[in-house]
Amino acid sequence: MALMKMQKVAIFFPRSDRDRLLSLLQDEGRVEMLDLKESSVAEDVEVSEVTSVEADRIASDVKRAIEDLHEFEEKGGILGGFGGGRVIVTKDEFENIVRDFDFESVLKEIEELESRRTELRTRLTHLESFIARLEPWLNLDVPLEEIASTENVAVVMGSLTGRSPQALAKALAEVSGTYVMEVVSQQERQAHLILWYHRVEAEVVEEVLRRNDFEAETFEDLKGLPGELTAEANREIAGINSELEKLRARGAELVRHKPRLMIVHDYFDQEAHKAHAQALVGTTERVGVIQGWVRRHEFDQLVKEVTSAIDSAEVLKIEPEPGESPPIELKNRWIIKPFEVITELYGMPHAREVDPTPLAAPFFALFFGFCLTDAGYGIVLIILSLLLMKYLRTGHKLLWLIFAGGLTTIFMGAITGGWFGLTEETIPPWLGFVATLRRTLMQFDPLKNPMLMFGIALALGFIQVTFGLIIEMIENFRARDALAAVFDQISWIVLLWSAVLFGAAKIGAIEQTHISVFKWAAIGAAIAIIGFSHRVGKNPVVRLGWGLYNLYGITGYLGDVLSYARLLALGLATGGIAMVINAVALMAKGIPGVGYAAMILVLAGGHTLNIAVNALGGFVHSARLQYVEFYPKFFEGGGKRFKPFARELKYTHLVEKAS
Amino acid sequence: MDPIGLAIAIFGAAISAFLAGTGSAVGIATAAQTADGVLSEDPEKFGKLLILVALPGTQGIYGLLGTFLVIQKLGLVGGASVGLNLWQGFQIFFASLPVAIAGLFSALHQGKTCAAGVELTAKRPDEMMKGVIYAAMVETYAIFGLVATILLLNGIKLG
Repeated sequence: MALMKMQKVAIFFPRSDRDRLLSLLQDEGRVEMLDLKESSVAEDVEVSEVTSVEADRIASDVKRAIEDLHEFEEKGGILGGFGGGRVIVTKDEFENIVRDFDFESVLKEIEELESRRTELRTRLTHLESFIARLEPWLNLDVPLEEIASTENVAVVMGSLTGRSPQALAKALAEVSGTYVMEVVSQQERQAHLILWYHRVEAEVVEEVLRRNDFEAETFEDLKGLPGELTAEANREIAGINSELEKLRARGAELVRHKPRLMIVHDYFDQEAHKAHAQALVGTTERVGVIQGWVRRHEFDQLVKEVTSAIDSAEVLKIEPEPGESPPIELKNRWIIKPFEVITELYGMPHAREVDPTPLAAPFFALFFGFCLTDAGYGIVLIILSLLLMKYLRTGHKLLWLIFAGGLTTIFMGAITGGWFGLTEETIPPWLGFVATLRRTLMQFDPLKNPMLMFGIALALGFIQVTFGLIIEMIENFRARDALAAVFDQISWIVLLWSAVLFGAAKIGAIEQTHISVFKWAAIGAAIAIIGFSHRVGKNPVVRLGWGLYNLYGITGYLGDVLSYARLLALGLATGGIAMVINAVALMAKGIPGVGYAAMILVLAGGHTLNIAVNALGGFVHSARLQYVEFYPKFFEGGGKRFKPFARELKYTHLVEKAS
Repeated sequence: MDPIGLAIAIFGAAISAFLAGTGSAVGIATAAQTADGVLSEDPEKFGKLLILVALPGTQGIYGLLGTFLVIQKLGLVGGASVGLNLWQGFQIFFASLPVAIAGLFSALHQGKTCAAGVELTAKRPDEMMKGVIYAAMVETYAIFGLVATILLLNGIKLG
């Protein structure tokens, strides 16, 4: 239960060895480098600016190619979106591939392939809209170029929407004696037609057309019959499609390069990081300097690594500057380690306070179990977390957390009789041992007695809230602030507990012999809070006013404790929905023919979904209880997380030996 | 035995699944639409965003649980239906309201919060869980609605 001890270091080295040192630091990943510009040595050294980095450009080109290839890959179903799909290689293989693989030519081919595809697809869209435009004119048996105006006769082609050609003809007949109209095609609401008229009547005819919302269409550059033009376009489309198909096949072939491209990407990405890290190196004419933080117990190792690689380098322990606090890394035993996820999510503690993780861990685990309360689900979670640990190489911390949650879920499920939502009536006879097990372990049925479950949830909340106060009290005593400990925490602990015990005695839940003790303790504590919780300033009225206001804070504690009622609801929701799933499954069994298959489908799908939704809910709400109800009682936070300069691989995973 | 009482009780059971479920459907739609936008740029985020999109779905589940609890209380499944009078029917109806209405509004607003969480995740994928926690704050009041419904139903004496 603590924070990792950190040591500030300075590394001096010959300027010419800069890149070698950076590679070493990146490989070992022990040092968080500091920006020398913010340090007091800034005046004496020159800090280089890194503007553009070639490696950055290559990495982003390779990344684009990898993403392009993505489209040609065999899809792993919807689940493909979940897995990272990293390439697993040894360091040697990694380096060999970076050295030997002619990625430039592959990149070029992928780029050409993509640009050709884009070009073809643009053409395809163009042709499709061309065909759509010609479609109404397919009946026309005159080549388009022959429908042209002459010296005396004007001709227009176009469409009429929402009006009938007959109505137009009638309107035209009123103003013109020379027009000829031919309807080429007619759909329900739209007609396409050609109109000839004498130029003398142009003005009046065009006026009529305007009034009828006639939309003119021109095919100026086109020659030939619409039918022929369409056929030609269709032939071109077929050609494009077959070329696209070929390109697609070629793309699918190129997918085999993807793992190697991923390796190349990671290589250049690392190089880019290293280049950016140069901005953190200070140099004089001959010497380079890096300042940073290292875990104290790794200091000796760092010295060994650096000096054995670069003879004349020197690693020195240095004092932090005034007001500078070290970066934070949590350090806990294996059993608490998984719970660090919770604190890391919230934010790191600052350098001089306790790590809240071990204090929150038992509560978190228990609350998670409370939200699920089904021993069967607990077993599933444990199996699932172990399986995933076997197949995934990252995220083990979270998986162990789920494992721990699985254990408490089994416990909570056992005492409340939750086994996949089965009840005495629905347990099939061949699962008789489950029924016996359930009966033996079960202490109460939360569905029949929700008040008990409610009480337990609030009691747990009350315990955690006062526990938070006790931690802050100890912190205050440690900081030699006894006044704060007595009036800000002890008085509240006494007030809360005596008020609760008084209430319990009053309703007869506990013996009434000490009831007056509780009463006076509560009153005494309240007076202490009114009188002494505001300890700055001399004006007694202001002081008492603030004291009263602080006492009003008791509603906050009430709210905190009531917030734990969520445990009851989430727990019942899991069990209740599990029972609903079983009931539906039993109904499905009645479907003739496919009864058993349907039942199994409902059971598997339903329970999987229920576990997923409630495990997420259990995690989130248990975390929230720590963040909102527990941590603020004693925890300030604001520490900066320790982030050593290290390899950050996106697509690959380096292993020692080939498996 | 009053058939109107039973009908009113069933109205209560139905309304909790119906209102909370409607809220969830709309809430998920809000979050999913934003997530679709992000996926158009970065399809790899599907798994991460799914959590935020699914989150407003829980209110519908709470509503369904409310329905289930009433069904159980009334013994509607299994045939051993308890008799209840008009006023008991109303009691069950009113007891169903907290999860129904708190569920409805909590899901609608959680959908918006999750959509913002999706945007947060698009820009800073590592901070996704913080968006989830904020969204869970909104869910709290649907849960309290469910707590109220559970406790109220538990307090109603039938038979």
